[in-house]
Amino acid sequence: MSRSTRRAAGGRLGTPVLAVMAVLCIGTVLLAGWGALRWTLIPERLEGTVALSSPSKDGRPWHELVLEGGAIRTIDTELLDRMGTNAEIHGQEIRKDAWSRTLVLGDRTLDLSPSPQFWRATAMITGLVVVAAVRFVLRFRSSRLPEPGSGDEGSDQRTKRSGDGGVSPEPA
Amino acid sequence: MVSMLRSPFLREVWVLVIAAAVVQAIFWVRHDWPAHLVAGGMMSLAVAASLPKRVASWAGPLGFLAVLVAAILTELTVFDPFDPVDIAITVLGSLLVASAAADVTLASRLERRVVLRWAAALIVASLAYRFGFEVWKRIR
Repeated sequence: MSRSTRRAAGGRLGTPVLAVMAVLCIGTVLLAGWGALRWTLIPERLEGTVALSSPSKDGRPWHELVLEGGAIRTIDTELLDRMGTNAEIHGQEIRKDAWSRTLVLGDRTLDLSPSPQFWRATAMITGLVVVAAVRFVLRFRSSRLPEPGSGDEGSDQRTKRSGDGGVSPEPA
Repeated sequence: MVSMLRSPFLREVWVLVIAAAVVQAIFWVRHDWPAHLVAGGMMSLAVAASLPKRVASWAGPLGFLAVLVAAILTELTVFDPFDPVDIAITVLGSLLVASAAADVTLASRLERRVVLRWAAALIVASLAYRFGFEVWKRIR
């Protein structure tokens, strides 16, 4: 489909569409960051008793922490290693405020920090979002360029070249 | 098939496949994420192919919203436990093809039908990839 056909049919992308896409791109990165940070338990509020931990079906870097009552949290294996084995954590009380960087497990206090898995996932998703954003901006710019020979060159700026080489406003 | 090969749709398939390969290379154990990415992108293009032409310029954001709703619903019902990263990767597929969404909406009826068929086939293929690896992991 030619650019002029695309524009005539409504394919010209307006600034509101670009603004909405920018918000969606930022939202996707924030969602990914929050989701990956949940593996470290930092955003989570926890209060209960640990029932067990089991390997996650998603692979070795993650485990599932099951609390009594059935609540399940996917956590980094590295964090679970610091918490202890199943025998050590079973029946222990776990307590944590949302966005706190300390976790109380039984009579121990563990410091929490963003894990390598968090950084890797967030960086990967951010990189791909940047690729998507660049593709969209290129499409946005091409949809706003005038079709060569269509007679509407410069119509966006409502300007035309004057005889002395300057730029003067075009009459409406 | 021939019209599919001629259309810009094939370029979007390649974009998704390359992005999925990057995701798979970085997170070798996560076979679900490339599948989420491809399915999200294809679903977004399927939505774009179903929209009326007058909303073509909004096809990208509308496809994104449709994929977001579908990702949240499937994450809550099928892909247990709930993981926002799965949702982010699914909508990422939609973002990657958003630049072509308006063109798909403005394509001819025949082209849009071809896009719908291929999108459905690739969604099924990505789900087969995801669940195939899950079954293989269990057998192993």
